[in-house]
Amino acid sequence: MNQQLKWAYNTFSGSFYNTLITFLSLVIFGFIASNLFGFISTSEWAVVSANKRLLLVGRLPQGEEWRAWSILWISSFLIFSSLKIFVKPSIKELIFITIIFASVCFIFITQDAIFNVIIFSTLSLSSYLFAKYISQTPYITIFRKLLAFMWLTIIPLIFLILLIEDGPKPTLWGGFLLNIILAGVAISVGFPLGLLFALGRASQLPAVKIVCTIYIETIRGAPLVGWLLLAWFVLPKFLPEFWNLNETSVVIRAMIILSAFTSAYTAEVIRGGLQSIPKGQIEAADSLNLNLFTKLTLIVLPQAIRVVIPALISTFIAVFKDTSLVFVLALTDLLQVGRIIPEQDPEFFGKALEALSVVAFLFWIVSMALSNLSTRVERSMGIGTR
Amino acid sequence: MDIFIDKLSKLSRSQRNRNLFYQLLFLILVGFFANYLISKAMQLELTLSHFESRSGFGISHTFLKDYTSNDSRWSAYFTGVINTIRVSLVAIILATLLGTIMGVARLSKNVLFSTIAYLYVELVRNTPLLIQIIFWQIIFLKLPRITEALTFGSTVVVSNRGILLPYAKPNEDVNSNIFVIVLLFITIISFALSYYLNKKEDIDGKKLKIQNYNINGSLAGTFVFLILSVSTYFILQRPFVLDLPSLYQNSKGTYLQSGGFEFTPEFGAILFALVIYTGTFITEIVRGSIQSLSKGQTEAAQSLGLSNYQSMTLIILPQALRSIIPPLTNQFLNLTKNSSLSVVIAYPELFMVSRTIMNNSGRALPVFFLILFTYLSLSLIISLFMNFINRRVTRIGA
Amino acid sequence: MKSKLFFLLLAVMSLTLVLACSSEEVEEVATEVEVAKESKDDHEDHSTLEEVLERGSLKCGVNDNLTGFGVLTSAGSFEGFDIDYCKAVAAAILGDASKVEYVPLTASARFEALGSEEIDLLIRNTTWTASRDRDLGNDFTATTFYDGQGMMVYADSGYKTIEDMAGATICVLQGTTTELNLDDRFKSAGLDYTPLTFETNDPLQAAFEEKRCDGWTTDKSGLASKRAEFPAAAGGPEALVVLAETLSKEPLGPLTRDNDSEFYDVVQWVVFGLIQAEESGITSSNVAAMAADPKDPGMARLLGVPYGDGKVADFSFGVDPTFIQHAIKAVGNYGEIYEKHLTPLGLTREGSLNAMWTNGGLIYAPPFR
Repeated sequence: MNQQLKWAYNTFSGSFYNTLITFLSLVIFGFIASNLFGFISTSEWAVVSANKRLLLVGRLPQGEEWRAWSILWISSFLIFSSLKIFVKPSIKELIFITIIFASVCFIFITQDAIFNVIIFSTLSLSSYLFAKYISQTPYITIFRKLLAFMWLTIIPLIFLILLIEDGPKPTLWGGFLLNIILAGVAISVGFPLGLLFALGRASQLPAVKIVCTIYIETIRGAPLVGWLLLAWFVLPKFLPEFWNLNETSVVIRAMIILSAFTSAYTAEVIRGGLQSIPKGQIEAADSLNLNLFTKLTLIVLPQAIRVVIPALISTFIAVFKDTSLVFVLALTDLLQVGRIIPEQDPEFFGKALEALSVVAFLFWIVSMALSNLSTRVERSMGIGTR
Repeated sequence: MDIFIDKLSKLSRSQRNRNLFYQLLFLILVGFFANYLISKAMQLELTLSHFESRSGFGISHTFLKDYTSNDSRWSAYFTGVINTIRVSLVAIILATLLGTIMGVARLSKNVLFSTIAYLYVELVRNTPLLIQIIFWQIIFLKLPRITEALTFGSTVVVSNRGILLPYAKPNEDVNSNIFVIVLLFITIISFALSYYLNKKEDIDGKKLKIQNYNINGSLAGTFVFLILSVSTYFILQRPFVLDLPSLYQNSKGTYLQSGGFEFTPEFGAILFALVIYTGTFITEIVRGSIQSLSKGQTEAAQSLGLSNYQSMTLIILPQALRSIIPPLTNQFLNLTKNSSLSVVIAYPELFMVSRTIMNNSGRALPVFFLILFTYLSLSLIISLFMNFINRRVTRIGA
Repeated sequence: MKSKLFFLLLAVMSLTLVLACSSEEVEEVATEVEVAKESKDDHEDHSTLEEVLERGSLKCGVNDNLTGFGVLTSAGSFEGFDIDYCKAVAAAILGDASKVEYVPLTASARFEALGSEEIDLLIRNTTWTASRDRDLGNDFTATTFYDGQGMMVYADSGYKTIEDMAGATICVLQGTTTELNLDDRFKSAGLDYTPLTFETNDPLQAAFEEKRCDGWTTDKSGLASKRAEFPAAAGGPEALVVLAETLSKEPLGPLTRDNDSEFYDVVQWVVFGLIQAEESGITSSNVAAMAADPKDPGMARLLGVPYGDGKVADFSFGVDPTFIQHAIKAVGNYGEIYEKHLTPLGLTREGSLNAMWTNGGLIYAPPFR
């Protein structure tokens, strides 16, 4: 008991400043928590409960929900088995995940969707348990490779599901689904591209360096809203006319711009990582006569990326939230839905805060998951312990 | 033919020649692409002549510039640009401060403190900025209404239309520009004086003395600055006078507040939202860089008996700076461009003003390019400045 | 090894150079022809009607957050006064009111979207002004709703006219004629004011509720609905009063692009047709009966059916002569559309400009002859 008191004293008081900080922290905690609970308990949530479908899939036509459901089931299998195999959460984290899962289901469940939601929950649970079982058998290596392959092909698969058999036009994709798809495409295309540009900018050849710098600085130079508006009105005039490229859907154009944007920011972050590598590493690699490709993949990049993983994941989270800016392209994404539903009906006037808090909650879940991932990756790479 | 191939292979054996060749190839490819883009761009109609006509709309925040609806659209646009610069600059400084403090807090031993920092980052970073801006606007609207505004003895006025603080305004009877220029000179002189005195102290290795009293170089410089500036102020017959805020009702019963330095709820909302939001990203960047340093540094600092504060400011942060600067530049640029979201709460910065102009005049394309160009220039300035700092920081060391 | 790469790239480069040099000429000639063609197109008539018929759907630019005129319902479909006109035009041209692709636009992007052919038709509570008609390259068809700009203030402020509001802070939406009219009115009266320009209604309403601004100005139709739903916690509708003065005329209607006469005519006469239908007493429920047995030659011409032994009147609109019939069947006549969307907001037709011309209003259709 004495020891614990001693620890408490050292951590929370000790010096004057420490005590002050503890006191202030408690005050802040209390203030925020009480306001939050007050808000949740005294608001009317009709504006959200009437618009659950709109929030999740936007203007997807009636009868096409099976696409969204199949995407959800496949992703839940993928996510929960990867959770067990790659992430290995602790009990505390599992409880947290279950709570979030349950609250999402609670908020968004509707009468006709009960059956689908049950399938969703059982699928998630069983894939987790299945993965747990497999990890104890020798099949785990094959399973790992299978999961990795699925992660690489999930985006094309989602496209396939959405477009197969006369699917709805991409401009009708909306809600949360649209944000996820846009972010997925932007990150998976933008990251390798950004890597290339970062290497180009750090290259010794001045021509390559200058061109890459111009590209990165131009893209970074303007707000994403500006680029999106440009993509809508100006890009069609610049795209060539063969393959009907100048009539691509707005969603595809948004994806192009988002990927370019992500690549510029990723390039800069990776450049920071490249800078932090001691010069000796590169000189040693050169003295070993490694060619450029080996030098990059075995020596430079592992060290560079490791250092900037927190910044990279920060960038990806920012990209995910920036997908909410596609409302300027007349696309109905999650945030736009949250902003227009208070105007649907006179009884929803003035309920903006309720609608937006649910939107914020959804964004928060995904971003939180990503940032937790980054913490774990850091820990597993041993950052901060050496 | 053989001689030709022979010569060619001799040339290609040198790395330098091959590099030149690859660059040439690259440039040709880029050249084709650029030519295509430019030829398409020539076909677009881009003219900004309609910017010279009367704007016809009012702007609520004008800083450093008098603007009325009779001025041209260029005038309106520049007012917007000034508003953007204003909020971005203040937000960058405050966000860096907040981010650094919170970044260090994340690694603090005080569990409560580090948990607060952790919750701060996780909650604020993961929600969209737009929602946060609206949230802060609502908070600021909860200040007392103007009919019940708080006035602390007519020095400060606080209401949900703005917080007014005493300020200085130029005295109309005197030319205040001279004072500003002279003040600049005085500042330079005092800086030079304190710099010189400090350097002399370092070189001599002992403290300066006048009549056996120690002189501190910086204090001396400050003292000189104060004496000179105050005397100039009175010599020039008080070029700046105190501007006290006041709350009053006009003849129709409308409550008005004016005077002093105005801190409107819109500016406050966008400032707080940007600072707190960008602060989370900076926190993570700072934390990542500090953690990427080897632990041996902290241990060595502690074994030397340095306090927490000293080891942080003298040992850790200067080294962490190397990997902080490029991602930090990213965040500064992000912040400048996120200020374009303020149209949600009626803060007239450049994006909102240009959208109004676009809607009134209908020609969106040239205005887009103008917006792109302005943000590009702002970003370039920030990037150049940060690159300069980056080069200075990374020049030393392996 | 490195030299091999070098030679390979050298070969590739020389090959591309050879090809490029020949195609560059072709490219230049092609661009010239393109430029010539584009400038010619600007003066010719664009046939949006043909495009719509070919595509099989109508791209309609709409509003997604103005109660009564255009909102996105929870089921993911659009509803509202303007939306019904989109449906009417689609029914008229394509025979099916569901063949519409709705594009929800912000106020600042709407004209650009129309100009760059992202949409065929813009029906988004847009005011008809001279500059928009000529400068922006649009053509306004018939007005569907005559509105006016109003000012809403708190009853306890004691304001009766605009002159009382010298020095006030006014909340207004960005990028609208409302913003400009506000400035004109105050400037011409020599009054000072501070505008607070918001992008959407929700933060504006929050600011108005907290008395951040003294007045709220927008179209009177919007003010009426906002006043009716003002939360009781902030005082309810009795706490607000809409000033009697109308700051400006706001005639709202559909618009098409310039130089698009075929499509323009069709849209315009669909609007007129629905007005005429109300005047003649045709509703969505009795249109089939009326078409089978038209009361007079006028009605027969309107519905595109023969009267007695006569021929079907075809005015060469480029669409099926029964196009008005399809429109009425899909959405009803003017009165029905108004009843369905605007009367629940408290906007009564009697005594307003939107009453039928026979009742003293401005809703009037030229003859179908």
